[in-house]
Amino acid sequence: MAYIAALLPDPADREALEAASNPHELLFAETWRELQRIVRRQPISLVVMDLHAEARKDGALRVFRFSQRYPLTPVIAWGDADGRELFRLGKAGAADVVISRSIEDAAIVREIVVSSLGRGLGGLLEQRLRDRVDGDGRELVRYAADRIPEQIQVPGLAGAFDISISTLERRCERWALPTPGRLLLWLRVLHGLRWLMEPGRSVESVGYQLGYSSGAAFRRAIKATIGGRPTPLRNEEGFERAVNLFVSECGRDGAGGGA
Amino acid sequence: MMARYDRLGPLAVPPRERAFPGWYLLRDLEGHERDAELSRRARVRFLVARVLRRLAAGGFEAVPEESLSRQLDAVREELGQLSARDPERLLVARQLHDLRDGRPDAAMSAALTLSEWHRQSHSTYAAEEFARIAVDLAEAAERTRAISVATRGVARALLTAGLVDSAREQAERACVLALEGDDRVGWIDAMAELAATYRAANDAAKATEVLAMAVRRAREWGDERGVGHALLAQTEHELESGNAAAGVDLGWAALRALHDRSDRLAALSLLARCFTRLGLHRAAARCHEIRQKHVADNTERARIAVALAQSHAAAGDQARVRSTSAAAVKELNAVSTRIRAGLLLDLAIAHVQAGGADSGRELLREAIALARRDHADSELHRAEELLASLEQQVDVDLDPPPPAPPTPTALRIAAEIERANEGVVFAN
Repeated sequence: MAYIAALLPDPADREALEAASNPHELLFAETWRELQRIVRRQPISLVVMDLHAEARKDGALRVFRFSQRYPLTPVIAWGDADGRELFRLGKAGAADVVISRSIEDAAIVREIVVSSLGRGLGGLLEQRLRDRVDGDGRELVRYAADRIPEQIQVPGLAGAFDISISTLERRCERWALPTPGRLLLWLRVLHGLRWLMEPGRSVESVGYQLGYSSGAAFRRAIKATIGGRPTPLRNEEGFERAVNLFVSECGRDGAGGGA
Repeated sequence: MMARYDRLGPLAVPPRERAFPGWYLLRDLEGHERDAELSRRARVRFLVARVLRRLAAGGFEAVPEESLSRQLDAVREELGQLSARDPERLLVARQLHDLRDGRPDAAMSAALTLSEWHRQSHSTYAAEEFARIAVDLAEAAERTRAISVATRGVARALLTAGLVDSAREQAERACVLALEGDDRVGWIDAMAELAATYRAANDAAKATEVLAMAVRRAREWGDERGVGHALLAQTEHELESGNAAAGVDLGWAALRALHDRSDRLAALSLLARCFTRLGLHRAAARCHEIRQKHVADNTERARIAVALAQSHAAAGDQARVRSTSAAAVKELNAVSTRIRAGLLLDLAIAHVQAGGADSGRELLREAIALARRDHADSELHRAEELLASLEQQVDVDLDPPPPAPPTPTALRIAAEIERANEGVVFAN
């Protein structure tokens, strides 16, 4: 389950998004300002924004401002847009668009939500592990990555696949993945680093959102995986280095392979 | 809503992998964002692309039938924004109809048809996007041959957009895929596309080499249709390289090697162009007349009709110019604005050449209006320049450069074509 923040003033639109977003949790904002506040405070994986939520405001420009501020959080633009507006939305950085005509079709909205969530960490890791880990292993990583915001733990992960913890451990070994505990540790760190790259987030707040008791605990997690302190990692190069390190722990030649 | 000064306008274009599905075709709006008509069309194209992309992304079985049907209905409704006789509307409506049952073949064919239509209309981003969608659809259906055909479409779209290196990469990929799919004729067609990219880069020698290899391999395989296709590609190459007499020889050889009706019509089309370059207008006109009876595609029919009028004009046959151009104008109603503008300009020139300055001026005015509407700058410039000269009664040199002298072989073939009946399009 991921957190999705939405600015959709129309109750029918909210209903349509709810119908298509199961099992993800929706957090509705009443205003643009509140939407930003939610994104700052919660580990949001996706934002849905009605282009016409505010009178006399340029919806595409709002999408642009948001994408500039939170480049790692995909935004779905919602509402009616002519060709010119669609063109501008692409330039503004929208991850996708739900056209008014599609709103009543839950299947289309669901596909758009799922594919936009795929632009997040889970999708990125699934792609990067393609040559190193087989499909079942990637599915586990994807599932776990998507549920980090819910603070998933090893028993929950095993339960989700209807297996015992020891079976999950054996499967991780077979799939050349780190142990379940280390996998979740890595995913928390990677999630945390992504959030830290966006403005307005402190190590303490991100650590807390990830389920750590303090910022110090989150720092220790970074040290145990990547080594060093979080500050030098708060940029794209740092994040990329962290992803590469994680990927190198997976696969037959990685640490996970022999673990 | 859009501010008077659009802050998003100057932003850099996002890389393809970051843009949302179908967005790239909207780039045809670049520089014309305030054109409401184009904006409407762009939205329709985007919605069609979304249907096809959805089939490609989810796989053909994954899209619920009811949802697909509803999505198609929504696009159909949207088409209502275009006028009832709008050629793009008619074309898209046909493709949507074929998509109803979500068959991979129908989806791939729709994507390629739309790509080619947009390519010819110079909507190069739409052309590329639809061709790329065709590749994705073919990949989703795991059909290597179809992937090769669609990749060739991408190469053609990129070449039209002037992206020669990218086009070459795609053409090379199409060659590899065709061989993987054991599609020999497909490989030869991909080689022809590859040669076109070398020609576009002014490397005629390399293009000649590529085509010679294609002919040699086709002969080694003993594949007669393959040999015919390779000869067609060589004909086009000679024609584009200014060697129309050699083109006639090759085109004639291709015609005799090919048995498929569409292949033979393609050979006649190239022969007609070669004859025109050699000043053999009666033979060119005969090719057009024969093709006119067998071609169904609206755009091609319009091109043939205008080419026929041009041949008659070049031969100095005023009466026939008048009669054929009336038919041509009718055919032009079924083609895209951009193509119509260009063909009206050609028709206007034919009229002026045949001494019909008044009707020529009328056609030019129509061409100017259409070119302006469709941002067809080169057509607009040429038409305006010509109209101004005609109105100021300044002598305009409309005659094409003097033809290269035809060889005896070319003359013999031209004479044979002039005597040919319609049966020439069927297998001999």
